[in-house]
Amino acid sequence: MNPSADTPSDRFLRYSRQKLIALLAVTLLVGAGGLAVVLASGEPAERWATNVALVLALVALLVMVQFAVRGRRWNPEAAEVQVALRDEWLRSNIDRASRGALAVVLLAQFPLAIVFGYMMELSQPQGPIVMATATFMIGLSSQIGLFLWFDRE
Amino acid sequence: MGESRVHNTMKVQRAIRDLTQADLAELAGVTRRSINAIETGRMVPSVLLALRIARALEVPVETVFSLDETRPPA
Repeated sequence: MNPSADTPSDRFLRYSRQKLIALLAVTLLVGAGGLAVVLASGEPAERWATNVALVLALVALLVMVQFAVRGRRWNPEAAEVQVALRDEWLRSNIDRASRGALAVVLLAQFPLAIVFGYMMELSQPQGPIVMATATFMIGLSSQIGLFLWFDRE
Repeated sequence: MGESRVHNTMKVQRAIRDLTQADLAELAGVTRRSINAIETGRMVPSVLLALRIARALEVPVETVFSLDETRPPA
């Protein structure tokens, strides 16, 4: 793609794509950290997992701050932003990503239940929390990842 | 009846009028990526979008978009 041929809407969409990639990274980092904290049992492992989770959360926070303070500010009422948000190709890709993410989440439920419910022998509050965290992380990262794939140039 | 597909002549119509994808996108009020997706067959436009593209190219919509019915193999 020739950047000089870009319309203002193209530039907005490219900037949004970069933000989505950062959001995907943050989701995976925070989710992994959360799972590490919940799954760790026993004092030394729990301290280690908590430290890892805090580091991952800090990295995620730095990534978010980087994208929040750097780059151009977009006016949501601007014509190029409105054109981009109403774009049929964009909306079609969001719909496809949503359907794909739903399928991924549904298909993952039984394998997750087997892993966390039977193979790992988690305690009563741990099991549901781990399931919820894993489902949320898989759903959100699938949605974002599939959209980035479908929407590629 | 075979499978119906939408055939478009957007690229030809653009070339006749010396328009880039970005030019046509701005005239039709859409992004260049939508124009590219339609031209490469990855997306079938809605009726509204097809009419806006035809108006931007100043031709009837049937000139730009048509049904391309393929026959199944015998």
